[in-house]
Amino acid sequence: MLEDDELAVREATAFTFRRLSVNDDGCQRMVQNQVPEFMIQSFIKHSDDSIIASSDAQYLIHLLEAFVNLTFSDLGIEPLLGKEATFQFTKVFSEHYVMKTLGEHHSKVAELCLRVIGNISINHEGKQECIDNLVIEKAYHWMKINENRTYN
Amino acid sequence: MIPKFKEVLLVDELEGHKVRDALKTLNELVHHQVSTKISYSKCCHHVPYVDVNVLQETSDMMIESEILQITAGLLKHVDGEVREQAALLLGAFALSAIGR
Repeated sequence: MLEDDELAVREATAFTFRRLSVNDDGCQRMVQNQVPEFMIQSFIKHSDDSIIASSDAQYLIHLLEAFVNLTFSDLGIEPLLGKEATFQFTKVFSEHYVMKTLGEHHSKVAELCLRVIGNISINHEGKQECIDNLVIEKAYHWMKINENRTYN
Repeated sequence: MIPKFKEVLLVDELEGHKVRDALKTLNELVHHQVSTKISYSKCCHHVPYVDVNVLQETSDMMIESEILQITAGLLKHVDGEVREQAALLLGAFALSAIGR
């Protein structure tokens, strides 16, 4: 369903996973059924520079909202480790091609990527992935671009 | 009303647009319930709130009528709009404990 030919179906499916991830038992069921693995594969694919499209913004936002909920516990973080998830979240908030393609939606996508990375960094292995992917440096450059991205 | 929709969804080889319309109506029923059940608290009359228990009533009734299982089967339907509406309805059921 996450790789359906029709965008509306993919969006509705991602919306369903977002709703399912609101509760802890929903997250557990998703992890038991390897849903996060499929979600991250699809996220990486549809945010890749060769395929990303502005029409995919809402789909990516639904997936990211679900990742935010899933990564509140190690149970939801662990399926994302070692799968280039942190690399891709970092790439999406920091690279120019994503900003250019997603336009007005990019700030929401970037904010959600940073929230997911923040959650992942609570996990010991997740923190190491953040270090390996230079998340702090890239987040610093991202914040410097616009004064609205920092707190005084 | 819900049993009637169940009967419709169970009809063999029903045209895609009819299945889609039935699912759309079920989706509207769930969301209509949400929009009409916003109330005002007794102590703060100007503050609207949503009674979550009341909101679950319609979706729980649908789940008890086995609409969830039937809808899950429609995720493989050949018509994309049917698949979309089926996924949206399952999203509505995802907030229900018995749905999960």
